[in-house]
Amino acid sequence: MTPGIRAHFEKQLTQLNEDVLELGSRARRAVADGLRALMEGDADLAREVIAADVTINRLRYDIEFECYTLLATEQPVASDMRAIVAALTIVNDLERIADHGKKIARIYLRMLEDLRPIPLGEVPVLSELVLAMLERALRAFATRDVAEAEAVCRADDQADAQYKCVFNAIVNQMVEAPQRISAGTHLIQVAHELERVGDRATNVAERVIYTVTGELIELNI
Amino acid sequence: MFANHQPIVPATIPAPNGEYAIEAQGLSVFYGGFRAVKDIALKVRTRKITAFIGPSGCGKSTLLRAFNRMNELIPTAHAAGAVLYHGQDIYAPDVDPVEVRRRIGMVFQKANPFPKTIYENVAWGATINGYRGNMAELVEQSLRQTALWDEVKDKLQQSALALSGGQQQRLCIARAIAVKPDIILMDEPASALDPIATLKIEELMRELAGAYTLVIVTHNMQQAARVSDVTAMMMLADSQRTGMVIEVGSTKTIFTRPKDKRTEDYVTGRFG
Repeated sequence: MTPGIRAHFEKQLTQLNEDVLELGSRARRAVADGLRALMEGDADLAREVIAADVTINRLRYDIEFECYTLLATEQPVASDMRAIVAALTIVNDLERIADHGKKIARIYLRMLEDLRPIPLGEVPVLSELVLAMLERALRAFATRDVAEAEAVCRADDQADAQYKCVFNAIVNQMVEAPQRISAGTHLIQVAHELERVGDRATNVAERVIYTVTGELIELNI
Repeated sequence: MFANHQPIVPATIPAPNGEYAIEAQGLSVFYGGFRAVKDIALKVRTRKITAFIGPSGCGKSTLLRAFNRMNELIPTAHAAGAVLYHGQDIYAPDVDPVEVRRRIGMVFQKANPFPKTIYENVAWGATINGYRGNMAELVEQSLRQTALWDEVKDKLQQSALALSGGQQQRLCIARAIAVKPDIILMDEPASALDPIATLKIEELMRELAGAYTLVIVTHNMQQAARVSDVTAMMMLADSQRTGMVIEVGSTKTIFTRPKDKRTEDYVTGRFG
């Protein structure tokens, strides 16, 4: 191989990866902070999460434009092409993950109006599961690790099961104490947002597998 | 297409049929004692476009020229192994190389029209082959097939050398197809042309692929990606200066997920 024959392009690809990871880090923080606001009763933090979403959206469009520019100017093929088109879909999922964090923050602010709060039950367990999935997906992206990506996809079954468990527990509480229906409904929405974070982490992992192998596979069945 | 077309040369080679138009088996080509390509095992699909890609000097043109015995025009060149054209070895002793080259035509990197009129250029091959049909119709059909007719129909008696580079190359393709070949070999057919003329040639290749088997050599990987159905990647063998085919696959696969790391490095521009 001639060293440095596409050094400039390689720098751009490295920058693209770093930008995707930066977006991933911000998306993860949005979900984690949205939940922390809920668990610790921190309305200011919830408002910060909502405000930060504008920056996240901007970053997503910047990366998207970066990808289009590389496609148009470098005519990438094979692994280069796969890395760029995968980045395009991954940033979409990451931006939506941040949206889930923002929605959790918004739901929490609405829950403040509930006169009869409801215990969080196993919602923190679900949040730990999906945040761990997201972290592993981002690690798999950074290291192009197919095994790690496949592990994310397997973990989604556990997250789905935990979501059902949380859902049933909240419904039971609402049945037992109808005055908590409003708060319970909000909490179910939070759990649903978390479950979607797990699905999107799986999407990211699938695109990591595509980047490495060229195989487009659906693992979130 | 040509109802009144008469066979130009008695058929000594079977009529085209089958899935593969050409099959190289254990093919090596030598220039004197130097083996330029070796151990080529390659099947060329009928009425598809096959592209040879690879770094300079890896034997792409040599392999292409072995497909119609064009290398024999170089005194020291010889081939070993077999090149089957619809099942028959074109290097067999009883096969006439002139007939091989009529069935398997060639277009070169630099357009090389004769210093004659446009009409004479297209009619030339058919004339020397004793074509007895309607020559004017043959010329028109050939020029139409290469999308040149509308541009030259009013100046058929003018010199071909007055045409633009792109038009000259399309004229050369018209000249090649006027002798009714089965296969057209193209050696860097657009490398001397500007981008618009290049796109016209590429579009023409796609048109011709419905009726002919095309094999192209190109340094322009995007061209291979755009026009070909199958791509064969060639490289020099590690220890010698001998070219080999290292990977053959659908163009879609070669340019999205090649199997061989060397192909990956070449198509992504990491070496070459």
